[in-house]
Amino acid sequence: MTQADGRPEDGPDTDRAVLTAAGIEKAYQRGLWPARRRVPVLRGADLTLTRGEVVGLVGENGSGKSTLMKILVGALASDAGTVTRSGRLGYCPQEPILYERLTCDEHFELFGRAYGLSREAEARARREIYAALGFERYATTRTDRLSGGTLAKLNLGLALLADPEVLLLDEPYAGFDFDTYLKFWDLVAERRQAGRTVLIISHFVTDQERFDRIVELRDGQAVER
Amino acid sequence: MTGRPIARRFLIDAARTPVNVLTLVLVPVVFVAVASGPMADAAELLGGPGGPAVQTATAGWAAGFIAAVAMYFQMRAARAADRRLVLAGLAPSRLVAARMATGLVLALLAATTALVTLQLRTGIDEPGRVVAGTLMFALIYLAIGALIGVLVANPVNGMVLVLFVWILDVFFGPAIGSADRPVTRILPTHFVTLWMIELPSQHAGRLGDLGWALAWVVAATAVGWAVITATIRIARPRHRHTPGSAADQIPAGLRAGLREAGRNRVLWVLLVAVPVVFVLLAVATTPDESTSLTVREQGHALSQQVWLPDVHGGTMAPIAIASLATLAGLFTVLDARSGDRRLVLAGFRPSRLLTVRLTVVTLLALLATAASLAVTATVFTARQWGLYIAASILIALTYGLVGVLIGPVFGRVGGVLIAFLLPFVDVGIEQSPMLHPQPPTWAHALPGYGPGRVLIDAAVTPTFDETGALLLGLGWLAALTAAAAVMFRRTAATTR
Repeated sequence: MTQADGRPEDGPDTDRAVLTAAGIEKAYQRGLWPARRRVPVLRGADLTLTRGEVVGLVGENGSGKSTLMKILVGALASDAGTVTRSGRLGYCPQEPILYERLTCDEHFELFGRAYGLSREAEARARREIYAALGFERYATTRTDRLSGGTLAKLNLGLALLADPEVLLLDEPYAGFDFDTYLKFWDLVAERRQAGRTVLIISHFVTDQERFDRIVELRDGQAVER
Repeated sequence: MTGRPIARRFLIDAARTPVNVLTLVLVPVVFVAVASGPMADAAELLGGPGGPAVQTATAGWAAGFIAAVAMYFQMRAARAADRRLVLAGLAPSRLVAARMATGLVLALLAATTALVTLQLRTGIDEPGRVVAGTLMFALIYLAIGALIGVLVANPVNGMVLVLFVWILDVFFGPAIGSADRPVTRILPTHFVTLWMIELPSQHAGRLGDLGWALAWVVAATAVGWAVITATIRIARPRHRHTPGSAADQIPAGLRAGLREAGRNRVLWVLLVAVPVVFVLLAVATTPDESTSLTVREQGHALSQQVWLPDVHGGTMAPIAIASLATLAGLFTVLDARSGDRRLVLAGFRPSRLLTVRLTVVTLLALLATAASLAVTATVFTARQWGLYIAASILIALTYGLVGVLIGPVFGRVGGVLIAFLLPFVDVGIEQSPMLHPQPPTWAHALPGYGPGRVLIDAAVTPTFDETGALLLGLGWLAALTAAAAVMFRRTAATTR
């Protein structure tokens, strides 16, 4: 990893930050009163994402990766700490969160309105996503009739639709076949080339060279690997 | 260019088709002159009035049939050219007016021929009434012809469909069969026929037979206008809403929400099964005895004796409505909950999403009401139908919101149980006039009390006397709406 090809050598360049999380703390309540106890998951995690980098977020099961991502996205409130970000954000949750009786096309239409895209822009982006991930033939299929792999493609596609400045992807390629997995990385490389930032959660990193940085969640804190 | 010259051109176009002229004259003459006598005899055999009344009605039947045929062929033949006229700059409203005027003139020609033949054959006792009735037939059938013209492209199929509708209307209508069969009351010229042949229906309510006949004419004209307008619609540059605005997001959300609801097969099965089970089975097992109800009349609580089989269907309908509406509210919110959260994260405003979800619940509640009342109407007649329907809608909306609220609290399985239990305990047991002459005091605090009292008032008394109960019901509706809004905001909330 070198500065010459746009990748930071020792951590992020905070001047170019598009998303900064500082001192994030989060604990879950477990059990019933009076045996109720507090299980801390994040203990002051810091994370900065800069423009045009692809960052991997790794950690053991239960280390708080998905919790941190939900906090970054705004789906979950932290107990302490701040998240600041600029630009639009695209979020791909770990489990496909979809409307079971709507088709792929109908999902793109609905999320296009949510992102505030014009009809033309939404239609163009939809075509590109279908082509890039190869699931156009399921455009009019209801999601409750899709295979797991195609659901994962739609799940990712909705995050990509508005070409957001920051992409937060929670294990996006679980369920992909190898060909789609490669296509996914092509897409990520394209987005990176266009100056977009991508944070990818993974249990383990197999293609380390595809990331600019890898951050590990250990004991509730984010540490550079 | 005004509408009149255009209509004249259309008429010239029609006149230059010899078959048209032949049909317009020949069919009514043959029908009135040849078929009216045998039809009158057949009507007498089938339980209808028979005699001159049926022969009078034949003028209307002939005019109606020709009006539908004329309008059908206008719609089929001129559609593309009409669109071209609009593209050339003609105002669509003028074109529609011209098309309808042309159809009317053709229908008038057929009506005149039929009436002249009738005058020559049997004479006309009340010319004003018969002419007006024949004209109403023609106007209603113009709309039927226009509608079939839009739906059926093949002329043979189109003619078959026109004939089929006409046969149903005529042979099951009050001039040939009995005027009392409830199912035939929905036929398009039921009331027109009764008024025209001076056979009072006894089931027209305050509006009267003429009122209903005119209502049909007005509705048919509106449908005809809408249908013709739809066929000549051209692609205009669309007014674009700002991406991400309320006008952009709410319709998209509603489309998606209604698609989801429409694809829920269980919902459709329940819409049929619940009213049948709750209303028809209950009525079928009702004992032949009377019971007393406490109702309010002119400010006083009175005990009224009612015959159980007469009112049981009307008291079971709200249970079906409340159960269906609760399930609709429950499933609408639960099915969409996690997707809605993601949609809000993507930028859909929570308040707009709430509007979408509550609109879907409202529409489903109305559908549940319509399905239940359609079944109920076959076994029960309310003293005040309008108020009875309004009270049923209030129950549906109230319990639709209850469904919205119990979903996030009890989840799917628990929610379904509660969705049946709560309306059953409230509307089915505590508010039921079959079990208590009036609801126990504690049941006044339940959401079904207000609309339940209004419903009973509408079911068995001739005047509305439950203002307090209505206000209470509306209060519940407002409170539940507020609670649903708070609940929705909490469940769809993000930290942004």
